[in-house]
Amino acid sequence: MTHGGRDGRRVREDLERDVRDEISHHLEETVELLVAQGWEAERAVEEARRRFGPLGPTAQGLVALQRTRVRRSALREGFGSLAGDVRVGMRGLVRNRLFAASVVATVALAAGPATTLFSVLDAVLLRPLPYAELEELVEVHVAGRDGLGVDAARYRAWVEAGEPIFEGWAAYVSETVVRTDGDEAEPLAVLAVTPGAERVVGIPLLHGRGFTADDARSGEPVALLTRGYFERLGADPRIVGQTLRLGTGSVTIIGVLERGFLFPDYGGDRDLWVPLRDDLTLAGRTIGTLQGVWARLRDNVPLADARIAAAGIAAALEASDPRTQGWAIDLIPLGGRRASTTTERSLWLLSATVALIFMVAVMNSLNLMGMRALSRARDLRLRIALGASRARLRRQLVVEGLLLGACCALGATALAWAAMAAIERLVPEDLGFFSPYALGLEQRALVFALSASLVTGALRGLMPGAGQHVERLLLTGARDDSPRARKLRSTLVVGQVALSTILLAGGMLFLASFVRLARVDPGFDFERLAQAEIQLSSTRYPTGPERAELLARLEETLEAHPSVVAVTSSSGAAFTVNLLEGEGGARTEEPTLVPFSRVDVDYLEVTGTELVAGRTLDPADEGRDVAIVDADMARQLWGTERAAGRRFRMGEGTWLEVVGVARDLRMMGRDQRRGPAQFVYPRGREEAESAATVLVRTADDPRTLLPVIRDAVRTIDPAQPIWRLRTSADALAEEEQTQRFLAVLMVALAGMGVLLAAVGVFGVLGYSVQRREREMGVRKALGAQSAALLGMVLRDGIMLGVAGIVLGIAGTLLASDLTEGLLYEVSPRDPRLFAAAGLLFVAVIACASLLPARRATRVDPVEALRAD
Amino acid sequence: MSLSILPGTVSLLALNALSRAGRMHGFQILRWIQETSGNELLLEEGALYPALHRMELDGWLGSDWAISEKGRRAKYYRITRAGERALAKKVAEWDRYVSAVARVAAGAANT
Repeated sequence: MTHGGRDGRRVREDLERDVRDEISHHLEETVELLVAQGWEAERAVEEARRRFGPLGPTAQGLVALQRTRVRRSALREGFGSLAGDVRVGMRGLVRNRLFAASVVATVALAAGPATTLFSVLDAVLLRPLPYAELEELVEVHVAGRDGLGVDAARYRAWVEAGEPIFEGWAAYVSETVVRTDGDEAEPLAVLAVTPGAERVVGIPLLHGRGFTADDARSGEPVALLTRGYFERLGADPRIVGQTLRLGTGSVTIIGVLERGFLFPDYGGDRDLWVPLRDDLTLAGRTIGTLQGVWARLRDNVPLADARIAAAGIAAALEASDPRTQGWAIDLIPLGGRRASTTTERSLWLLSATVALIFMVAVMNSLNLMGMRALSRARDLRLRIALGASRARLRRQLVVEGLLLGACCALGATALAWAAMAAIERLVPEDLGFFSPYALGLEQRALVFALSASLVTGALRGLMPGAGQHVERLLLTGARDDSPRARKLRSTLVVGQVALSTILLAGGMLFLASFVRLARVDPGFDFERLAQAEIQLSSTRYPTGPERAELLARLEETLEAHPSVVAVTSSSGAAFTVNLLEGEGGARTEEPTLVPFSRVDVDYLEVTGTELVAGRTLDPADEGRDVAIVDADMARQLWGTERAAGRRFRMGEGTWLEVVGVARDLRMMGRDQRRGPAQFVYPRGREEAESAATVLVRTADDPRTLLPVIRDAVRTIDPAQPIWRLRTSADALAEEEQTQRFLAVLMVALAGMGVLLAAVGVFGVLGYSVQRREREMGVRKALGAQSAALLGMVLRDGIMLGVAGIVLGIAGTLLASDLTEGLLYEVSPRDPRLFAAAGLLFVAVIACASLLPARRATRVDPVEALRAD
Repeated sequence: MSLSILPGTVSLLALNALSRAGRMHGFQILRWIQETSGNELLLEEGALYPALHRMELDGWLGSDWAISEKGRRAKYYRITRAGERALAKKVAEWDRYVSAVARVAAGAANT
């Protein structure tokens, strides 16, 4: 009730009249009493007035009180009716459980994962790296012709010559070291850094101290814990000063870092930092090249100037060291360098996918809500007839929408948390997006999801087809909806189908890629093969022969086991990035990544590697400069010419003679893109490395062999750790986990999209059949066959579908760049893919149309004509 | 000579009247109080009506318009549940007030 306007004036007049009436009634009664007591009529009136007191002020006071009362009760009523709206809305949602659940599920499924993925995207790609004065930090990137990057001599030369421009340097190498003082050997990710790296980069210490130049030069081996590992060890500051026993010897913990370096492309955080000595040796081994070199620019040195200076240093180095000829040097600001290309592409792809789903879901729920509003028109008309105002009804619709939106928001939040938890557990480590700091739902993303859900809900009361449309329905009493609303709904469905086609094509693409990859023959017989990594302590087995001796004893012990057929070992898969040159053949222009392995001479027999030319290795080859290359490498270097007997080398390295050609040597997993050319060469006893992979061939299930291997190692040396004990089939599968993860995720998301689109088609056709019941009845009465009606509805559905699919294929072509580098031997522009996705979608839509179509055929002509 | 009413006791008297005698209009309430007090209490009409309307605003009283037994249009009041609660509180307060005053007055008489 308002106080301005006609209503307000009328209310006030009513109140004044009531007060007047009440007072005159009192006066009349008093006069009557006085007269009965014998007063004269005129005197009685005077006496009554006198007794009552001042009439005017009293009356005014009463009117004021009454007006307050009316205003208050109007307010109370308003709140009451809002509560009523909420109650009615709740009842409505419960009554239409199916509708409400489908809207909530749709929106929550879309908004929840979108929130999570946006949070991840933000943490990995958008949020600046947590380093002090990030703009001063650069990565010194060296693309050498020999691909060697920066070695010790070059690094020292850089540090000296760069003095005027660079304030400090941080160089690192990452590796895996086994911790041996627990019950089980625990592999630790270790980063060897130059002293002061944490100061250069700006990582504070939580406890203890950082490395000094002394630590790097000699003395007792020391280590820093990163926060993640510190917390895993119980977060007790007293750990500083204690020692950890590692495969490489004992180290004393001297401090705890607030965090590690962040380089997502190396798999996130490390557990330990150890000092990298100035001569770039680590635990007595020489580090060939540094993995990364970071430098901090001096204040007031702009990047452009630093680049020019760096080029000068490079030129000076080139003059003194002929190996550095033709080097490309670049200083890359760290702020711009986030994740590896694969990670970045995967993330953008997944975000795009989730965004598509989100759009499909929103379209779907808008359609659902619009149609439901139409079906409620009758109920609303009834309420208008009973006197409810339009504003009141609109408010009711908005309240219902908000309620629905709130449910959606709750669902979305719950799903976002669940998705984040799942991502923390499921994401393969070598997808590497996640450092421990990356996680946690981003607040802006959460707010976005919540408001998106609420708005989606509230739109219900406002969108055409709901709000205004309902009003028009109410006014005209029309049963049908307008062509405009119908067109809007069709457009929404076509849009859903188009977006879902993109999703479906994407899902199929990744599935095809994964299936293709899983079918690749890695070139060796991985069934009935088990393997383990062993890291020999450099203090107890300091020399090659000692290490070879231990491996030989292990082989002997294992071969004595009845189910073991044969045992071999290798240095494990390693790789080099270098120029590859074939004698009398091709030479690569650019340094290429070439996986290689140093192996026992019986490696090829035990692993069952198939040869296509030449001979296998024999004991006489031990320590000789010979190699087995794979067919790809042979082709790359010598084309169709015979490779056996020729020589090749990496960069300026030793020439190796090819004695045999293997059909395939996929040591780093089936994904050949990691290295098109691979080779193995025999190692001599002198050269046995401290890290080895032991491979055991069995006649039985290789799983039963795993404890046997562990026991064998314990028998020989109880203190010797082994790890990554698994079957070779599992080891291969692990290499494919990124592909598997992407495939599973993309297929799941595609499935969601298709399901949503199918629901959308089903809804629109269902509604259209309901709307055209009378037309169907007439057609039937005029002799139309059921099959013809069925065909009519199916045709409508498929027309909508085809329009969407065509648009979707166009969209897929536009989006195909997103998948670049993430697929294995599958083209995102393959016409067969589009044909398959299109056909599959048409089938899905036909199924979704079938139910409404059958309903059309069951229309009773008599009933349909009688209605209305 | 009738006693004039202490300020603040009007609502107590009116609530009590409506609680005991049920639904009444303003004049009846006035008469009921006078008669029940043996014409000892003289309630000012000018004070009664504002008290009634205030209590109506506070939700202690409900009201409706009806035709009286004499055929006149009259506003009838009835006590609400909240009014009953308020009455109980006011009665208790009144009792404390009276006994306190009585104690003081008795002391004065003894000196």
